[in-house]
Amino acid sequence: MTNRNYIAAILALCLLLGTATTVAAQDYGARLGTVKRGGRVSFEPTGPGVLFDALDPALRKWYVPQELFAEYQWRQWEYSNYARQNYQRYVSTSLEGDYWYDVYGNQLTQGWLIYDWRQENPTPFGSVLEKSGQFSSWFSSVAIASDHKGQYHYSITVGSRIRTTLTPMTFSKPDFDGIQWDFVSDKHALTLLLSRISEPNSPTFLPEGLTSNTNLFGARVEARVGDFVKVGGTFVNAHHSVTQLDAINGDVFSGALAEGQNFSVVGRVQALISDDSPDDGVGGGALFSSDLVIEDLEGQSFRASEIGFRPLVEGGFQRRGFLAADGHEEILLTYDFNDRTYAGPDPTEIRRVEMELVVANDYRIDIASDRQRNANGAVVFLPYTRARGNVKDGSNQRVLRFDYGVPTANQIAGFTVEMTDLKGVDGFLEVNVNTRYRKYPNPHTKRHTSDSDRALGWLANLSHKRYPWFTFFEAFGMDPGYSTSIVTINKREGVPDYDNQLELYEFVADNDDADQFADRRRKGSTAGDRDVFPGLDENNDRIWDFNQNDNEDRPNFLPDWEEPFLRYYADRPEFLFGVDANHNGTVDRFENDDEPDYPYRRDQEGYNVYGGVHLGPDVRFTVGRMRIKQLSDDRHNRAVYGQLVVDFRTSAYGRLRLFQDLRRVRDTIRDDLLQWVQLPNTRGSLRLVIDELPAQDTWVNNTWLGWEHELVRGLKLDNRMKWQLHRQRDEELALELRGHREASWFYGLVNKAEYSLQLGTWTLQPRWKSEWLQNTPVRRSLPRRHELDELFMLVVRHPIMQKSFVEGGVEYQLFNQLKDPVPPGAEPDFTAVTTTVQMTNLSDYLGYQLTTTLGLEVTRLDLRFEPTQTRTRGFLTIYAGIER
Amino acid sequence: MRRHVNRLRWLGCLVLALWAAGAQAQLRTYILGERAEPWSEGGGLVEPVRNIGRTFSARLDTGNVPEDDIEFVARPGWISPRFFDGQTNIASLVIDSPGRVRAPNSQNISRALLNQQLEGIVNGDHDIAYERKPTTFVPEMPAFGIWIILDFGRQVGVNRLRFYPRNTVEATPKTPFENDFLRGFELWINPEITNSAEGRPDVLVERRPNNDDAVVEIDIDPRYVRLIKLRSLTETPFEIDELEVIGSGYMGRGTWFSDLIDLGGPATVGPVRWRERVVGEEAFSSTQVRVRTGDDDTPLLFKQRGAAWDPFDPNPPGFTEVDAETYWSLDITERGEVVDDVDHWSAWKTVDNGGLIGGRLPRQFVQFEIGFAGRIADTRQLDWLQFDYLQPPIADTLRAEVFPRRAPVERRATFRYAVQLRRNGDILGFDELEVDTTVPVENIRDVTVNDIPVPFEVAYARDDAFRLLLPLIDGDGDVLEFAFDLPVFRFGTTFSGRVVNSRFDRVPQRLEAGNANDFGPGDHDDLSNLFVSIPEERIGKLVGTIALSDKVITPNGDGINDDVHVQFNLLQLVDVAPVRFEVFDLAGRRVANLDLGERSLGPADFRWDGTGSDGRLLTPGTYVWRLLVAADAFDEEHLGILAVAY
Repeated sequence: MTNRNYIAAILALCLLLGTATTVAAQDYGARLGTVKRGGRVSFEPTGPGVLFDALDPALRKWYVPQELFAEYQWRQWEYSNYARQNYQRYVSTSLEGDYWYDVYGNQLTQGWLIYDWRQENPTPFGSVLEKSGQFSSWFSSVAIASDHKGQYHYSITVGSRIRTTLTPMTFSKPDFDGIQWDFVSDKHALTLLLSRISEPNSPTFLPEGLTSNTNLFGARVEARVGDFVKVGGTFVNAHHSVTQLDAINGDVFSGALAEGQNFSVVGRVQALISDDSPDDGVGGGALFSSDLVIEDLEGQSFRASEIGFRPLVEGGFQRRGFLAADGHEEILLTYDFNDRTYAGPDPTEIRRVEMELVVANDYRIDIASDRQRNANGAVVFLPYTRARGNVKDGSNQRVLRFDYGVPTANQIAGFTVEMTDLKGVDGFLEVNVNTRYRKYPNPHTKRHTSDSDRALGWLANLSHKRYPWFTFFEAFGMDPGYSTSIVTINKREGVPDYDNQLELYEFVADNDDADQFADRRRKGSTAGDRDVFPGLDENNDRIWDFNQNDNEDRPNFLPDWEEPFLRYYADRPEFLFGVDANHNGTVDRFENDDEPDYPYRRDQEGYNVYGGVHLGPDVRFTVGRMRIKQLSDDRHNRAVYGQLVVDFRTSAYGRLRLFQDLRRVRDTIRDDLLQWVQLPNTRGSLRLVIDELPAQDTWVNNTWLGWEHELVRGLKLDNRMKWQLHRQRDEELALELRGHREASWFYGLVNKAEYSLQLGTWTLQPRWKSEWLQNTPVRRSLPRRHELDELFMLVVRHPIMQKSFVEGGVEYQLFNQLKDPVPPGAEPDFTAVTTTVQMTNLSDYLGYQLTTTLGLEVTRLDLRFEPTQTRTRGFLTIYAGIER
Repeated sequence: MRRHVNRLRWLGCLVLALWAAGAQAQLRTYILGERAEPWSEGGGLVEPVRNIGRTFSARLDTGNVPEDDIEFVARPGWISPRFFDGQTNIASLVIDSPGRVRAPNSQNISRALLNQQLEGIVNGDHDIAYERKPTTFVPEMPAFGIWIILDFGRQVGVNRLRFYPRNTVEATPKTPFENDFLRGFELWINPEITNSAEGRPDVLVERRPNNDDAVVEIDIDPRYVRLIKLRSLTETPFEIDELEVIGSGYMGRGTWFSDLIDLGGPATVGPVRWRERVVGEEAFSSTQVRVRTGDDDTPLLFKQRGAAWDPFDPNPPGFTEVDAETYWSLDITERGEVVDDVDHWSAWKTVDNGGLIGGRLPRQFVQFEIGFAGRIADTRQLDWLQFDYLQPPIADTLRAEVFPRRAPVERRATFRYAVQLRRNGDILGFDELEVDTTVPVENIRDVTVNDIPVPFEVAYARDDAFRLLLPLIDGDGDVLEFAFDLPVFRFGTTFSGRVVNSRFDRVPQRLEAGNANDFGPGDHDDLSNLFVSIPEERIGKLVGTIALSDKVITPNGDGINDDVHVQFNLLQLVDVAPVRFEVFDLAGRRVANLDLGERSLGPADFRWDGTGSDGRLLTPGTYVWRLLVAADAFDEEHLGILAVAY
């Protein structure tokens, strides 16, 4: 094409376009824009477009028609008249939410952000986590995304209180706050956990982002190998993270020094040596010598003993060749870089500090520095190591060599092997290695040296059943230093507060009562659980079964076994029975402690093996042997035992149950508990129960016999007997020094009879309960008891009209104190008569079902040495319920 | 000639007498007890002083028995926890701290009158009684359920209780209220404060709803009691003239503080010894003697605040030290803390019977604390406590060090030892040195004073120590130096020692570890010590070299190789450990088992004559022996081959 022709063609095209535009501009039509590119409104991030419709060369001010025209057809230059068409009010366009885009610019949705967790490095305030109000209010703080195809399923669960378990030795919480990504197929399963555990919620203060925080990463993978074996691997790591640092810089899992940890240089390092078993008063930690190796930023090493840098040593008994921290004595070793004897590199130039201690005997070592403080600025000592056993002869002398640092991460890695029904054998093996990282603070360098301590936890279970025979073997070991917790970064200060239990995050929660609330107040479980009574809430109503009629609105300060009428059904806690494998006087399944819920106790190692035979469908006989030792002390729990369990039921003789346990025990391991105790005039609370070590060399017998029978129709008999005996084998002098009796026992006998008689519309229920107990406690300082309590009751019920009935009851109590004089804390003889009349109405009202009770109770108490007391109680109470 | 000899004898006796007189003037024995300084008088002239209040709210105690819990009378001349003979009324103990008497639900009576009446029932005053009787002015005076509680504040032994109204036990005709006795009561006791929840509920001793006795006497098994609680079970008005508590047995604890014993100047203090007697079962009682030493007679430091003090000021002004008199004259806002003077007084240190006092010596002041613990019928009694002291002291400072401070284990090594003496004034000097060891020392040599060889003699070289006899060393800065050979067997072998002036050999003075000499390269002044370490790789082994005299024994009685002599070194132990030697045949059966008893650190040896466990000689053959040390941390075993032939 020639130039002339080319120009002519362009002019012709312009003329054609100009003509078209002129036609459209007659009524502002195209300029008023129904602005739709591609035929629809687009919210893609494409940037502003080109509107050819608006190319008129007119001078008149023209406003691009946007929201008001699109929504209400309102034109700024036109007269508005709402006579025929009424005015339409403004409606907020944000009711449908905002527009959201992914990292590629694709529009995701119009809606609301409910959860967002981002971390950017290197930048200050780079960790942002947002949970919107909709997340908690609309979704109850749980959001789940899931998909599946064929055998493959996955889900992403984001929640504030997720029930999560990888394994009970690594991660198990009823209230995990974070992200759980699960995948499962026929043979494989995978779980990933992510959480910013130092602040799993949106901060309530500005700035929104955090610089120092503690993140958790967890993973578990399982694979089935063959038909019988499943193998798994577990990894849990919680580490401090600082968003100002490069994210991918060295070992992420060893953590970073938080701002507060690395605020200034270390001025002094300290070691505290004490007695790991202070009760015996001898053979405590022995310190023979100490030294410090200091490495500067250029890698040059200085040994304190060679440069004349001497520690300040305080405390300890001087023995020949060593200082001894016996009993409650402590040796405090301080290397102060400001000391006059220090001639090493300037503290700002120190990269690494290694402490060398020659120690022996039963030591416990805690370390600290002036960079290791609590919220009040006080130096906090953190445990470093403890001696095994209770060595007193120096035979465990060793050189302990470790780098000083502040904690930056805690990690657990392990594997499991599970075997199911391989020729009748089931087995489970779990091995975990706990690694605790620490780093030396120095703000003048970005590369911080790290050191770590390791601890091992493992368990193995094997069982075999071949009727009528069965065997079971379990072995375990968990180092005293095995830890599944980390002190998180304080969200405001960026400093871990080592003294504050509320800043401690537990991978394995202490939740002995297996409810949705962790027992202890910890990071992420700040509420804790006030009501912890494992095994004693069988109906899962979170109310202690011994005080069933207690609740927040109407607290009941009397346990059921002391309340008139209710006490027919509720026996005293002393009549509980069961296996007490740790021999602390409390049945194992009712125990609550202050430890994470590991399958076995920390700081112990040992095995238990038993085997037995089913002597019939209702009779089982078991013999076993148990050997457990405490690793950090010279204590043990050994037992050889035999058990007979009979559960025999016939229509003619009712149900007969027998539990017989006889064992020879040598137990010196303390298993203190926190048990629920209802003291007088309280609803109950957790109290420390000290293990008195009642079976240090002892024969222990437990016999429980129960017989339930309905003799004739309506007449129910229930009889229970408990006999517990401790027969000590130690010499009299040793027992006297311990304050124990040679023989102690509990005999208890409960007999109950209840009859239900229907006479026309009258229902009569006579009841009788007899409770006899004789108790000689192990501790000599506790008094012997011998009591008989007889209860006679008659309850009569009669309906009135259609929805009402009247109940009347009389209870006569005859209490006999069989010890003379009356033991301390015990009641003398008395009789009591309680008479109760109650009318009950059941009505439907406004969609609720009302239960109205009206009544009067009179109790007359005749004490042997006191004036007669009369107590009355009148009540009218209405309860509204949904169902009855 | 004979006359000359007699003269010389007389002269010798005279010199000896003068010398002895001089010695008498310098060596003294301080005895606490009735023979010299009676226990009841505190044993010295300067009153003890302790702050029993808080640091910033001081309360001083200057008594020898602050808790009034030491017995001086029951066994004259001896002290023990306080003893009650089973006849004496001890109720008045509740009047003084920490005791108290109260009647918490006594209403309609003024506080002052109530206190007067309550004191009246325990102080033996038969004119004043506790009354619950209506009067014209107070017609309503409920009597039922009234509690009277005696709290001794600590545990005292009790075997009988008695209470009565006036004009009964003691005739008081002006107050003839013998019929106003308590006509119904309960009597409770508790060895501690009442706490039903913690297992310390009150114990009911007696309940008499209908009492007919004006004088109530209740016997109880002797036991410790802290609380005695009497409760009325009658509406009938009553009064109590006296509530008598008959004490019995020894108190569970007792503490006696001596006065500050002024030795007249810095003195070297010898071993502390005492004589004690066990009453009852030994396992249930104990005595602990603690001692501290000081340079002055004020073990407390009183501080005055530097300026007007604002309690909310995060940086409070400094303190200045003032004397006690000034301190108590200050306005309370100007008083600073009262703390132990750690610069001039040592901390309390426990001392064993016959042991030397720890801490820095010589010092002028000494104070003892004697603590007793026991049960109602099991306790300890102390007759006397004594120590010798030298004045002037042997030296004002004695520093010692050993070099090198690292040595190979088991092999004989040469050590150099130095003692430096410093004096500020008169001292006695020393001419004997005793050094602690773990095995007998060998080849002591090169003994010099200030680098000049001096004659010396080895008085003894035992397993646990050796002693050198030397010329008198008493010059300021004199350095005694010598060398010796010795194998070491564990990390931390310490050559602690003490010096003696042979004229007063009962009073040694301990050596302080520190810089005493420059031994040349490798001897850093700051690291000078009496402590020797071993190469680190040798730490962790309990048994060193094992040497058998022969690997074949022929126990046929011919005197040649009839037995095997086994020698070995035990390493590392700081206490004894059981050692066993076992012999197994090649089938693995144990045929001989020698229990070598409990052995301690150092060389050990024994002989085995081929006798088996059954007492008969083993048959010829090859056997495996095992040497086993069963230590607390682990069992270490060593194996070898041994042949028996005939």
